[in-house]
Amino acid sequence: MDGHYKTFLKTFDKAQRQQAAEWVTLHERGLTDEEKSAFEKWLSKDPSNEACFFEYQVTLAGFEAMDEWKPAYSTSPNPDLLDNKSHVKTKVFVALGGLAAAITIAVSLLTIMQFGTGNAEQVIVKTYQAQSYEKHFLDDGSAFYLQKGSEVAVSYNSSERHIELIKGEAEFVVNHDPRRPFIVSTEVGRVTALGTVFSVFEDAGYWEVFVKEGKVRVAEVKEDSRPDRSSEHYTTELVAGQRIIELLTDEEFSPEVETLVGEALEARLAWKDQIIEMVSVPLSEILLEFKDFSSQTVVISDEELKTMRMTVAIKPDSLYDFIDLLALTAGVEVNDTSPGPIYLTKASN
Amino acid sequence: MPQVDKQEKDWFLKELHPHEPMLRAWLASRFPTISDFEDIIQEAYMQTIKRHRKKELDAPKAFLFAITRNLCINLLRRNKIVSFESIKDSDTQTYTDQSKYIPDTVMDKEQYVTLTRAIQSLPKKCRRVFTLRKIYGMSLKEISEELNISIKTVEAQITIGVKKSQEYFMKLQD
Repeated sequence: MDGHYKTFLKTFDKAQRQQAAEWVTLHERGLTDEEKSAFEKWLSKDPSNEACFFEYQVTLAGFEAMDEWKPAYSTSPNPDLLDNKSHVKTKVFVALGGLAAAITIAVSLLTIMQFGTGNAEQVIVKTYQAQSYEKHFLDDGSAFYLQKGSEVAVSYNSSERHIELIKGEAEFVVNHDPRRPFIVSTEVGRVTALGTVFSVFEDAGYWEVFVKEGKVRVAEVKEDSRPDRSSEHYTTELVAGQRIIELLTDEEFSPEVETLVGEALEARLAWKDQIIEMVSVPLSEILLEFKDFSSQTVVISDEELKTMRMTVAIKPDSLYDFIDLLALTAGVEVNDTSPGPIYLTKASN
Repeated sequence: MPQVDKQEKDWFLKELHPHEPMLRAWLASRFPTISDFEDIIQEAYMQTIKRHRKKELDAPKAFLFAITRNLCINLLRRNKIVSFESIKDSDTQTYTDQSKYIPDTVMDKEQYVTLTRAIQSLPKKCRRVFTLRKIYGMSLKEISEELNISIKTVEAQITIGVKKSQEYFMKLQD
């Protein structure tokens, strides 16, 4: 059996495909009145023209949402943002425990400062604080995901990409560049991505780095954690499945390295999924699952709705999406009085 | 929080919902190994509505189809979804809804990877034009100035890119 693309090529001839793609391009730019007439004429000429046009229109429309991934603080557009010829895509995961209370969503440009001395280049330092799970994109093609309550400061220059994890947890998708290391630092230590997936956890008395894929270099950092000012007192490299643990109550930095296997490894790999599954549970109980992740009050002002049973798989930090889905698919009327409560009632029809 | 208001429901009923039969047939012909599109379609509706909230869609039907196609491609990759079923009465098992829910965060990452790879598969000039147009939202005129090429060249590159992306996505469906 032919594949979809071969079938497509058989269904629409070459000239028709070319014309359809050109019309899609003209729609992208915006049609003149004259072009609108010509387009209508072209459509009516052959019924399959519209189908061919639609196929290409769908293709281009698929890229529509990509502007949401525009780098957050690029000073000028980078046409080579997605150039992967000289880079290897890798993922890096960093987590830091002990989350504080909810923080207002805010992305703020802190300052433009100069590091080093002499002819030091300008470095833009930008902080990100998240109230819910958020994603942000950087101008080297890397991206990061912030968990609720997390905060990072990003500073890039020509020799280094530096992320300071101030609190919370974040996941990084790093466009690996050996000439410009991607470094994540915390108060305790620094983790340099060597093309890998890894996590860092830290709270008041415990610090852990776990490597999921590849390799990382871990360093204890004393004094200033900024790489060009600090000194490293301990360094080691970890490979996939290994973790390093340090109890911060000890005066000396004396971490232990261990290799996780079996269930311990599986649990460590799966922890961030945070999907809670419930079968035939009343809506009122389902909403309780969101309480730890959202300060938003939700009031069910309808007894029937409170006891309406649902089978769900939810991410507990996605309250608003869940409510949207209730409104769209479960006959629930939503009255949002933000910053006051959200009221849910059974839709009348 | 954005909520589904009457205006949005009207827009949904006018611009998206009437295309569902066609969408189902379109999906069935392209993804014969997927037996149930309920969850995919519900998720695509949500994403389309969310996108429309942020920026009015010129071609909502095409966007809906594109999102649905992307979700199907990702589903084939992942071969795993999580469920969202609304049960009106647990005793009688009368379902008011069969929709399912794929977490945004999972979808976002997959979508990012799929679309990024599609753009990376394009020839260099084409990729640069697509990047400026789709990620930076620049007009064709702005792109021509940025890359120091004529608008006609920008248009030609978009045409090439549309055709090549089409090929890329269709091959992913095979």
